[in-house]
Amino acid sequence: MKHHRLALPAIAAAAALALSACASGPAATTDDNAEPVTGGSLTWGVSVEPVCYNPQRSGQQNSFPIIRNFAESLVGKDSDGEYTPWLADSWDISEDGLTYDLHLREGVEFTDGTVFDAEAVKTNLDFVADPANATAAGTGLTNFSGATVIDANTIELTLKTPDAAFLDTLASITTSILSPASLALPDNDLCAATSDLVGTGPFILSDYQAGQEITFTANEDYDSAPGYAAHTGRAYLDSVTYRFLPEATVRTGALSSNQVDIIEGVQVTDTTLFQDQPGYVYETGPSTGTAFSLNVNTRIAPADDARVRQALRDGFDLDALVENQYLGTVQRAFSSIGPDSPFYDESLEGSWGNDVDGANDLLDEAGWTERDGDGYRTKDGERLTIVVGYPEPYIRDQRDVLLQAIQAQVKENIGLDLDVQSISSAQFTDELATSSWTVYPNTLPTSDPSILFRSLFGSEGFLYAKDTAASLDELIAQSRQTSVASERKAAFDEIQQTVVDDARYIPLYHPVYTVASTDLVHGISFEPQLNSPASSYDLWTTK
Amino acid sequence: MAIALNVTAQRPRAGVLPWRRILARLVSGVVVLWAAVTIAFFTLQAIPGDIADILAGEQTYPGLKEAIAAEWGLDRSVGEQYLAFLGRLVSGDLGTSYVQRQPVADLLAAQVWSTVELAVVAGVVGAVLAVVLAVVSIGRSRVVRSAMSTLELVFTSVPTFWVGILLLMVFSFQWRLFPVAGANGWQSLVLPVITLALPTAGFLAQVIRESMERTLTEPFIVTVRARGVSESLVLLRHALGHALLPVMTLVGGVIGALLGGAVITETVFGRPGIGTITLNAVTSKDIPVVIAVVLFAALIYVVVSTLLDILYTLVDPRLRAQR
Repeated sequence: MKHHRLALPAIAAAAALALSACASGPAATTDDNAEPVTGGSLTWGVSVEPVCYNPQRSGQQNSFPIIRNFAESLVGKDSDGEYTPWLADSWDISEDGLTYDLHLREGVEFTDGTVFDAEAVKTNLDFVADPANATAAGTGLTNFSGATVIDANTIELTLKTPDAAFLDTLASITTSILSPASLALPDNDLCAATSDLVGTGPFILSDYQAGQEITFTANEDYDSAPGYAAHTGRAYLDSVTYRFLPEATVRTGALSSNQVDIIEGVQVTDTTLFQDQPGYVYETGPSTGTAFSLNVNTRIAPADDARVRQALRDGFDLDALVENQYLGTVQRAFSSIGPDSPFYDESLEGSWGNDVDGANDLLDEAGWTERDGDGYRTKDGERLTIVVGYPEPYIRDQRDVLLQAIQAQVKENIGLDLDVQSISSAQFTDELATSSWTVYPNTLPTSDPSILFRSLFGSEGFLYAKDTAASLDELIAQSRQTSVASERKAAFDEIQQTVVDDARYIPLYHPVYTVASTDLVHGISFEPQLNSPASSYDLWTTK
Repeated sequence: MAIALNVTAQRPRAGVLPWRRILARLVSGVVVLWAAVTIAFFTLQAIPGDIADILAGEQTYPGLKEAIAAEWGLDRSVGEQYLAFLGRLVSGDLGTSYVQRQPVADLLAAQVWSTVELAVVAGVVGAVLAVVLAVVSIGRSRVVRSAMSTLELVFTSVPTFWVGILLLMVFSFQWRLFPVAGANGWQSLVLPVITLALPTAGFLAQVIRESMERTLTEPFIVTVRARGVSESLVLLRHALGHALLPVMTLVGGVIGALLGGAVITETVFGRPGIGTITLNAVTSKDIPVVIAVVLFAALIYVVVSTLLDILYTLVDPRLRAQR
């Protein structure tokens, strides 16, 4: 088997550059010339208490910034989408794309004192990939076939088929490497925040009060920062506390009264309290996941007619609605992937939307020419109705309000009855199984676009399961088999173009994480692989 | 109902107790609990969608549905599932949270005391405040009385959520007298207790005042006054004592209101407790936890109202005679 060494010196150089010029990196967002200070403590006010603290088992986006303090991945991902060293110093990928030799960082220890080595990595990957362990991370490892320990610091991973998204999977928080002793715990101890849940991270869990707060203290021996971090060695802070404050107003008040130093999930109406205000810093994260979008089921009438879907797509003024509702804190979407992804298709910008006359023409052409007493279009006595089934637990950020605004506009503009309903998640699961879902509004968190598109538009994904006719399987496979960026981008562009053209997918806006802090907090950044606030590793304070 | 039996066991003078009435009350308490369990079970059956999906919440990992099907016996008939469900509850097994991967009983046990602390203190503060409001306003001018009852009406009708936020804004964010969140020491208990106590106080004060006013018109008060007893003693010892009896019957409802209010109060103030568990369970579709919380609330209600009823029969001689 022939191996070629991939970019080790380049990555090391890039990491060194990133370190020397930390303030200029897009990931390090607080722009100050002061020297970082070691010591002190900070308190976060966070919107959600993690349901499960185990990275391999959590599917909850809001839990990740907290978990990242103790759990680390083999590979890092910087804000340009490049992979950087983390627990693996470097890796060689075979020419056929089937074998990955990972060279692990030496001298790393889990915080329970056990040694991080190839054996520990193998234990973790085998554990995650085993369906019997039922881990959330397992889905990313569908192409993983097995791991072989070469020596203490080298491990060989083999794949069933080439997979351009494999490094992304290794960079994901869900494949974080935990102490093998943690994995040996009984199932129900794996989610609890206890000192048994051990990683290699910059912080160690020191205190946890369920429903209230969790506190971490610095891991003094830590020296395995990811390549994209702003510094190396131990964390600047001595300790960091995350308080669970589910009420947005309370988070805002807690920050303005200095009871916490930094909050996430800033309420749109509170943005002006912190943005460009003396004493405060307001930051928004990158957007590389999918836009908040309407997935339209193309098999259910009347949306089986592309003209009807296109009329829905163009029958309202999306720019105005998004601006009105989110007051400029988010960007209106034209495409499925977020604008901060290297695979974002810029050519779609301005290419569709708010064409009421055109939408009306399309509906006339499709035969929806009569009107009923309520002003809705009809055909053969049938009203032009499209149902939107929004699973209730996923509604957040007032997205249902946005849909209601669209509902009002398409009624007014084109006589279309957009029937927005909130449904239970079990009902949605049922509809998925029978393919009877109508319009499904959703966002997928960031990962390699091939994984996002597989979920949304592939016949193996959750949405169009088993429906090969509607799927873009070939393009998706193409994007995953090659690791040549330009070829991948071409495939992604074509997918984005196709789904917006036939309006099976109507992107609405690009959600972002928001963070506000006092100006005594420095080094705020977002983890590019997650788009969410990063761990507290790079934070420092002049309090 | 071990708790109720303990109470009766503490009374050696068995002949004085209305045994038949107490027994009937215990039986009806069990029936109410059984009804709550049954409704919870069949509501679960009636929700659209597969039961395994509902119980799994948003978890979709491989093998989960099979595990749920095995634990709940989903391959058996609904009748058998129902009996198995009853059997597990009787043995104290509240099931597993598949979302949090922990026994539900452990989750509740870890946080229940925080809620009990909040509810008990708020209940006591609310009751004391109610007595003060009632006693202070009684016998005053019509203007004072109507001002007081308007205030009480405001206490009972404004949403708990809003009161909590308002108190935080003034006393925590603005004046920084009390911390915003948590359950550390008495300072962090003050604002949540006031938030929760106000509606209770408003409601109870109206009942107490009305009852005292009724008592003051009764003939024995005239006798008491004729003996030259001071007016404040008349109010506090005689009128208030009589007024507290009808209040006892309302305690069950008050406890229900305190538990309900705790859900919102804990959320606003970021306190641990049953309320926080409930909110998290609802948002993450952790149905086994939701069911357990519903049953727990029913249990508290039944135990408290049963104990009160028994206590009532002991206090009121007329009821004792009925045995």
